[in-house]
Amino acid sequence: MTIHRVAALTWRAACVVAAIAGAAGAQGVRISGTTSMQFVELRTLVRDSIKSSALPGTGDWRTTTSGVPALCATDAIWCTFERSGPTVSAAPLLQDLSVSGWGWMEGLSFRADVRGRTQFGSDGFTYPRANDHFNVLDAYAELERGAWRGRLGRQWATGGLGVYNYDGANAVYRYEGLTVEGWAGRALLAGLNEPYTTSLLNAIETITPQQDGYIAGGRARYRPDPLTSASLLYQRVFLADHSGLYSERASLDGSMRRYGAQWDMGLVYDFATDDWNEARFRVGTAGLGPVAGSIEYRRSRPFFELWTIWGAFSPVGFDEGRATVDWRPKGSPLGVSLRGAYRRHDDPQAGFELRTNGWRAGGDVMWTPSDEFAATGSYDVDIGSGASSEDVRIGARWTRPSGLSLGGELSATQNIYEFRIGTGRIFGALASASIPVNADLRVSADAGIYQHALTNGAAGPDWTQKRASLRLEWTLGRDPGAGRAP
Amino acid sequence: MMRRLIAIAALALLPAALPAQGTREPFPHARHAKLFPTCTGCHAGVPAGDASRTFPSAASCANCHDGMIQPPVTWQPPARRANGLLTYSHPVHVQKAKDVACTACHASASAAWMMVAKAAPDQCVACHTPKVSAHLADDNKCTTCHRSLTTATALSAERVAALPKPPSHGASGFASAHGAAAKASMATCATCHARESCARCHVDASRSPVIQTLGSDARVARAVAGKGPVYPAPADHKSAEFILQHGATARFVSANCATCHTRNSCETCHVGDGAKDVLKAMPAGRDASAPGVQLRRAPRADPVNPASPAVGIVNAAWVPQPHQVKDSTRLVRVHGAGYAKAHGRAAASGEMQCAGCHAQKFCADCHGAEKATRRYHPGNFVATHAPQAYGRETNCSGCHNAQAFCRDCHAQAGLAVKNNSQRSATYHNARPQWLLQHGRAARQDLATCATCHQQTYCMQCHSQLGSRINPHGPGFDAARMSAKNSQTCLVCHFKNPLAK
Repeated sequence: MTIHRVAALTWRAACVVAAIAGAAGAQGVRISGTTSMQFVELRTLVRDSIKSSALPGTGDWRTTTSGVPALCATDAIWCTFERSGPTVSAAPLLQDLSVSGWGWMEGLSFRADVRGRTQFGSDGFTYPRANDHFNVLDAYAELERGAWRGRLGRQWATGGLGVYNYDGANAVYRYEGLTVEGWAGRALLAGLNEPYTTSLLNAIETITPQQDGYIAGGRARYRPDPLTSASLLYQRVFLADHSGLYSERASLDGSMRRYGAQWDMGLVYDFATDDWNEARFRVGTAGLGPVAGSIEYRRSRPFFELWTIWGAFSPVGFDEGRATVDWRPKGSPLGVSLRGAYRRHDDPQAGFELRTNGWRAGGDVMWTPSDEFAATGSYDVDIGSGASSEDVRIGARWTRPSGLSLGGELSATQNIYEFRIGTGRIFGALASASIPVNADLRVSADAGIYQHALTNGAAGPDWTQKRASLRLEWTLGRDPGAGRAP
Repeated sequence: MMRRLIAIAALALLPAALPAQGTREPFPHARHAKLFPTCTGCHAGVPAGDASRTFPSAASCANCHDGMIQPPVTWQPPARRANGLLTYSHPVHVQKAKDVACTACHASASAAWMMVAKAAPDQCVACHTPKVSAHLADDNKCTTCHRSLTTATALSAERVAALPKPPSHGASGFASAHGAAAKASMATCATCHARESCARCHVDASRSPVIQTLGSDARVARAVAGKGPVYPAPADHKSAEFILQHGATARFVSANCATCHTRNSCETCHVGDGAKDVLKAMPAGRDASAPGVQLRRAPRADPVNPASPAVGIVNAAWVPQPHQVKDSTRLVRVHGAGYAKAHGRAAASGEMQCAGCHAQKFCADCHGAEKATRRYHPGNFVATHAPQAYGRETNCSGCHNAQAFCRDCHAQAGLAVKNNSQRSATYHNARPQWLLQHGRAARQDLATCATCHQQTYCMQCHSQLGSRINPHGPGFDAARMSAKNSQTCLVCHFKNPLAK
């Protein structure tokens, strides 16, 4: 499918929606869009072979003369190893269109967000989902009547469990500080916006859901005053034939500002495994003087829907303690933030000789002498099971009141992978700019280059690559919230 | 005391009785000091309030200024001027303060006879409100002596424009705090102000019942024309909590907001689904000459890169000339730096009512798995994301589908397992003992395993189809999982192991 085809599809969809709105006598229709294009380079890792006689040593696990690990099957003539392959690139293009219409009758409005995708170039790398050319992200009619609000169509359920997309109905009732909400409909896969039986999964996973999923959920949110709020959410996704569930979870989140502090808690419970996916308790100072800080306890255990077998593998969680300290005197252009965390996994009761803890530390320095200019520096180190890294960045941004913005960033990163060979440093430079052409058109662009250098004699793939993106944000029609001159 | 009152009365009457200053020459009292022993000799009508005898006639001057005794003069008594700003009555004062001499008000204590002048307002204050510090002090009651400006039709536009400004009006904070005093006593304000005074800044001037108690006045309109509005930020607006709290204030006392803001201000940010009922209560547009506080979004910048300013709102400085908004272009940070990564807790609990300002598409821009309008990850995130994924610093599955997004990319980059028989020396530290370690790694970081391995890869060993090695941990509740979805069991088991 060509770019012309994608553009035609998305434009046609927008026109249909706008025409419906117009024919229905909408008093206002607004169409906005974002055209986003990236250039992504990727250095692939390819498998190569070498004669076993050319490798020193014996046994299955050997090393090439250049230090690259190789696997030699017993009595085989050839050994295999991985090396950097050609650099492949893709230039994915996203075209988002948002259409909203209102004015048919009091409280009635319509909204649709559609997305078209394609990519330029085809040297072997297809950007994720670039071949999924058209998506309706949401499209719903909304009726707002006093304390009630109803929606019908494709929409999102957002809350402590994350963001779920579904085709169905949603109703909200508000009474003073209490909001009660319920939703139901055909569930879409989180992060994919496609039905559970989508063919997109078949391409990359052998075991896929065999039935559509249906979602039903509800939430009660209480906000007795502007500084206190709590939300309880329950949601299940069940199979079309009601024979079982894909997921059943609940979340409880609370937030409060009292006694000069900000208190937060968040709990996510998985009924299928009888485990807490997330538990967070955080307390932080709420703007007392130039020094602010927070401490947090977090428990995290991964969540898997029941169409996968991963939940039956008894994944374990970890307990983590976090702390932050921020220093920024009032009126001072200088601000400093420090952060740190330490985590320890539960005993997996399987295998041996593996790191079971991790820690991270970091800090930011920000200098903002005016609203127009800001410079930052940051350092982060993350040591843990699976992978570790060290990252340094410095950046600056200059933003004119007109909206013109120019920025730049230099970075240096060191990665250490526990499960993959490839220790090295990556030095990067990124430049970005954003220009508001007029009130209805804005152009943003950035480009960067990242140079990979292997260190400590490590062997591995070369990740040197270039990145660039270009975004065009535009609006047509009356904007009910543009804040223009009366 | 009464003498002083009478004196004040006499002096006060003089300017009221005179036509506009500068259009006629005042009577030279001092030069006639030796001729007139009493005030009432010439101003006979003053005590009784007889306007026809308040001033002597011009003919009486000719008794001396006949061209022989004294040169002739052209003095004319001032025309009687009603409806000045004063509501003063000489007869009332004469009746109540019979023993107070005219000079008590119209001359200083040490002045020679006939060295008279207009009565100073402070002398009125001295008797009427002795506890008040000054004529123009806030605690004074203007209506004791003054009528409202709109009824004082005799005052010229120039004199209206030149009315003295009370010291309190110039104090810092007055503009944002004067409303309460105005509500308490609008009659006091009406001494010097008309609706046009308020409409200079108040966008809801025509709807405000308090302002509507004032009359309209063309002289005031002329006086304020060209003067820019003043919109100082109220004290509570400067609080860091204001962004969180202003919704409740707006809900219950939207009239306060409507003083400076129209619905346009709200809609600068509130383009989402929430706060609609509050917005309805706000005026849809300005209906006065006041431009109102205009807000606009700060340039959208990269919310992840802390070197860029947070999304915020500023008072716009674009108000058309000649108006110049004072105290403008102040950046208000709605969300602090790094908020994009920390917004989850506030969004989930409802601490921040996201829907008030954001449409759902705003969430989907990131949670929909594809970057469309904003950058969430830093530029080289592809090279740095592994530690964050392992440590679950950010929940990848909150936005990405692990199978469709992560594994797809890993596979194309040569990182994911292409088929179940594939073995590699590059991964898992090229350790032959990995087979013994992988169980621990998998249970600790199973989500990351799934970004490279399909389920069938593990099932080669961990299923009845394969080597029948039990993958379940000690605490595994098979019955519970089976009750939720028994089909999950049948992926690896030939038949439900819990079935009897």
